[in-house]
Amino acid sequence: MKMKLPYYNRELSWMDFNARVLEECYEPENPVLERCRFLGISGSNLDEFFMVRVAGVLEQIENHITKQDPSGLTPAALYSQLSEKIHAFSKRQYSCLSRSILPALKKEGIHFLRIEDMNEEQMESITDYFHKVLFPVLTPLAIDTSRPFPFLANKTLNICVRLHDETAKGSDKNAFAVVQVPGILPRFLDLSEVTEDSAIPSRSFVLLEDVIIHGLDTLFEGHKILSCTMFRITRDSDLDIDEDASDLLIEVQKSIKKRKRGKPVRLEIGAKADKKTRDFLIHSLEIAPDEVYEQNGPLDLTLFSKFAGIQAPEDLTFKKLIPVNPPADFYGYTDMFAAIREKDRMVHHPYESFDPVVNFIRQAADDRSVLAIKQTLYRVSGHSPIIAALIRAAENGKQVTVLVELKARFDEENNINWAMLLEHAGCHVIYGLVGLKTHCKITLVVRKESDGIRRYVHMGTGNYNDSTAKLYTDIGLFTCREPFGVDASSLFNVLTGYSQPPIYNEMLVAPHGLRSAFEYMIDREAANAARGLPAGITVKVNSLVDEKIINKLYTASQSGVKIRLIVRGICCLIPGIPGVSENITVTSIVGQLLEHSRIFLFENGGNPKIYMGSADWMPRNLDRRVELVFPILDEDARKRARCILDTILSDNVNARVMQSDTTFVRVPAGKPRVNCQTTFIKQARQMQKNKIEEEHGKQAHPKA
Amino acid sequence: MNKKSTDAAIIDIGSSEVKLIIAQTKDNRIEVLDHLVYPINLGSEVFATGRASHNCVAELVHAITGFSELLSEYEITNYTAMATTALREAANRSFIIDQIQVKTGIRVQVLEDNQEKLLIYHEMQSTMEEAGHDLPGRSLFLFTGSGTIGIAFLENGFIYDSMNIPLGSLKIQDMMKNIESETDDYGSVLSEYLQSEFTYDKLPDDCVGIKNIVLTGSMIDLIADLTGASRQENISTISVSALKELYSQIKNTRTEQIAIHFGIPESQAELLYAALSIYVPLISFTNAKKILSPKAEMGHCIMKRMLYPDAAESFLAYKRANALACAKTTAYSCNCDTAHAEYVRNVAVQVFDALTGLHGLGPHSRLLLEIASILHEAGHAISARNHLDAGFDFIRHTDLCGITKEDMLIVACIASVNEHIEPDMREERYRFMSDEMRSETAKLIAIFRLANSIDNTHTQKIRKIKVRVEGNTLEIEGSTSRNVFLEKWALGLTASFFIDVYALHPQLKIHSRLSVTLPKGE
Repeated sequence: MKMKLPYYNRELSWMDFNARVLEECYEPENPVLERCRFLGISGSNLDEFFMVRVAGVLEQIENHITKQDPSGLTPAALYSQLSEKIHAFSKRQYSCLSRSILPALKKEGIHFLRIEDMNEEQMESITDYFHKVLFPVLTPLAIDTSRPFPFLANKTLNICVRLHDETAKGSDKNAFAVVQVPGILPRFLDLSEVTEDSAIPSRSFVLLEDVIIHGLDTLFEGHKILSCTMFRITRDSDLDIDEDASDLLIEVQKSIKKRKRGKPVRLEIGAKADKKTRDFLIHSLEIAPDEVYEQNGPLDLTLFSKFAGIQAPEDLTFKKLIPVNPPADFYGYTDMFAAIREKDRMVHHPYESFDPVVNFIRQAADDRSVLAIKQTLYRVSGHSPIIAALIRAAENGKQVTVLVELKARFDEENNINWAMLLEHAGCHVIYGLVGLKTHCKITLVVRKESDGIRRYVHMGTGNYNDSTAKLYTDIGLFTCREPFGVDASSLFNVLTGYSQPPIYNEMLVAPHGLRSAFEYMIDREAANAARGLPAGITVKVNSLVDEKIINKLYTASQSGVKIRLIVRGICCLIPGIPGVSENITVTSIVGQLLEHSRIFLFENGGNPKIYMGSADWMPRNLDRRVELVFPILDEDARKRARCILDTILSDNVNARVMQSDTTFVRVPAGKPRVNCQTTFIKQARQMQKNKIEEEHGKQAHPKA
Repeated sequence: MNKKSTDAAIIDIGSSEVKLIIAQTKDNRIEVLDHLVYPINLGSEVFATGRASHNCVAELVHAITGFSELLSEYEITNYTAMATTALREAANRSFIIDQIQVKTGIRVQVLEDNQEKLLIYHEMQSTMEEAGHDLPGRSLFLFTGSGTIGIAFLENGFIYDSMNIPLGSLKIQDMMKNIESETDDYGSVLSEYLQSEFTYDKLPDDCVGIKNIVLTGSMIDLIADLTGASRQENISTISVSALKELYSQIKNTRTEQIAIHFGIPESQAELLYAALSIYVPLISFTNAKKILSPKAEMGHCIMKRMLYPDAAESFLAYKRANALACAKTTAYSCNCDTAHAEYVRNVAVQVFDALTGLHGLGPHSRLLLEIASILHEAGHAISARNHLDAGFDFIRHTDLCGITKEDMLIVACIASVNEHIEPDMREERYRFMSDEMRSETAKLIAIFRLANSIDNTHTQKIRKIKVRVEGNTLEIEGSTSRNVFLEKWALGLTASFFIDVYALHPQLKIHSRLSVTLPKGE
């Protein structure tokens, strides 16, 4: 019988990742508003986790699926462990809020006020706000035999009001009503007073729901209010799309509507909820008791992400990271194409500005020699300058082909809007291949030059999103090497549906060969190690889930290959197990910026191969998505890629190392303290400075 | 090579896929910009039912629409769209071509078997040459397409005989689907079927003298992998014994088992079986020990011709040399008077060249004239009484490497007239020709009759022939010490038609004691 190799369940591993995010909230070295932000992130992460992953496990249970996952857990067994872990986690979130964050905020003069703590002026202020702003938008929804429990949208915040109903027949005189907290209004109101003489300026805030509860008597005039309970439901939000439908866009639109009505998978209620209301909600929402989360504090912690953005002294937030612009690789160039013609150019975001990516498309849009622009879009920002450039290109008569991935989770509506806008402007908009999400990040610019057609390609590890490019660490490569141009054209021909997948020259493309390429490269390292040749694997991904890849890594480890994995999120591989994975280390970086780049380095017997791309080591990336992984060929770029990996591995501030019991332990703070993210910004500045000096040197000594 | 156009494109409609290749010249080499492959079931449908279904045509049009978008993206105007066996054999081919043109604006040219094969043979030879492989002595070239098989015999690099068999791997695959479920002994059934279709006895007797086998087409890459072939540059070397062993291994194995055994899809297993069933019996006729398999695609040959004028000229020279060699092989097998044929060819070519400014015809027409000159006596082998008509029928149905059926009709028309028969262009054989084709045929007939009359006695009396146009006279000058009365008389018989076509009076000037000038208007 084949031996079962160690495998850690992905959902449990994800919870551990979120726990690492939560740890940042406790971290006294982090400025207090950043700790609030981490709390908000941990909350929104958990929301998404419920909407997709927990909902998925529950669905499996409902469908009586009893098959074990690679870790040996059935859906029911997993749910039991998961539920326990999430309940404990939620408790920790609120404990962190009350014991760590709120006191720290207080220390900085920032207070969340309860109604009873307010002074007269503040009371006047909220009463005024209630009558002028809230009252007109609040709609109490009574629930009785003729008015069933209302449909409540996913993640909305609600107040369940229990009233005394004199008119009710029988002994039960309880009546219920629901008041929705308006999502369009700010969740917290600033009640700060100007205190010029105070050393620490005092800031006071009140939560919107407290203001509403305070005014409920007005809303339910003539009724006796017995209790008020905050609650929030999270619904199953995974889309079920019929990809064979004739119009995918309409099909996705239909599915989004359905998602809003997905089955509830979590009910959060205030800890002080009275039993009658609790039972009423459980009954009305048809939710199981273990799906109820009693929270000892304000529901929906994502409010703290927004709260972190309040105007506050600089020392309450991380030092603002200003991306180096222009990045060293583009310093001194106004013509993007000229720069790329000289050599491959690499940009490390957000340490280096995202502007070169936007400028690349802008320049292409206005350049007379450009014949065509092709681009994949997965997630884009609100007022995307890239979309604007693409539209201008189409208006300028360029052939613009844009692959908009309509199935990008939670961005479906956004993407439908972009798709329609681009189509209207005359772009050729496509939605990719049936059954596969197009996750690759690539732009192709076809240019007619004096010596013929030349293709310029940008490939990246992150989305074409100028907003997230300020927070996510990603790497982009610009090149006009012919094999990349050929491959890029071929990839777009596959995506437009006019060609079968070819054999690519340089690129590795999922689902047609990326898995086998990775498996081959891992096997090759194992073989090299066995032959005494230089061998080693250093990989940075967001998640490591794929069972086959994990098994290959175990085999390589057993052959003596040193494997250094940098995995931000889920890691189902268990390192450090004697005889299985003692040559593998797993490091996770959670810091100011979201680690997002994917880098793959194989020592290959002394001839190292370095790749970057959009794919994680997950079955969905290798088998069910169109992903692109590209080699780094330029010597300078290769050095830089290796340096990036080494810098991350030397981090002793943000890094935690996974143990053989699946826990993560912080790297002991050594000297010097190395925070890879702050090191990268310094490196980017230094590289630009070197370029400036180099340029000045040339000007001073033109003949040199 | 000279630069002609910097970019060009080819759309190639095959049996199982339609392809688009866009390329440009850069640094004196061809750089492929885009290579698209779109799968279609054209061959399966046409070979099974004789026609392509509505859905299949719609799919084809969809693909070509996409291709045309890409052509405009690259601003390419220099493109060729061509189709081979499947479309050629489709009963509704005119409708398909029309649909494509109406919906995409692209006119598809359907290549004839002979044209297609010559392009492939040329590419095979070029690849071999580029890799430094000489082909001394006799060689067998074999190409297996989805719908046809091409066989060519070469001597010192020239094709002297060729044949096209309307049977390919896809056709055999379709047939196998039927017989595999009907009989356990389908291996033998298939062998028998192939033998009857191939008529192996028509293969040249001297197959045994073949030293080199050059093979390309269906499944060859897979076969090379399965037989452990060595690969150098673009050429694989496959051992004949390994190939035979592979065939014997799978000969009586069901395709499902083949698929499982080699880890390939069942459809590929069927094609592998079909390809080996064709290759192995053919190769068994030779004593060759190895097979060379170059990477050769027809599209590359066409692309070179489109991008480089030199390549177009060189292909024309290749086509001419091989067509003439094949024509000579045919003439030889018909016991034609080769000395006479060669004499007529030389005179005809001289006249053709002298009239260049007047007939407006190109090297292709010149080649047809040469072939007609070589084959014009072939009818004697069939009927002494009615050799001209017999020759006409024989020639028009003869397959000559690189020459189309339409061309062979012109050749047959030229070769089946002599000085006694004044061509009547209203005759049935000319009736279905376009005006352009009829005019070309008439011009070539006029030249051929003149040239043929100069050797009326088949003794090549007149030597050192020079031809020139002087005013309204075509002067043929030669020398002999023999009596040329018959030649002059025969020339006189051809003059009227010649004058009708060229408005020139042919005149034979002999450097001897006698000189005859035909009166004008005769």
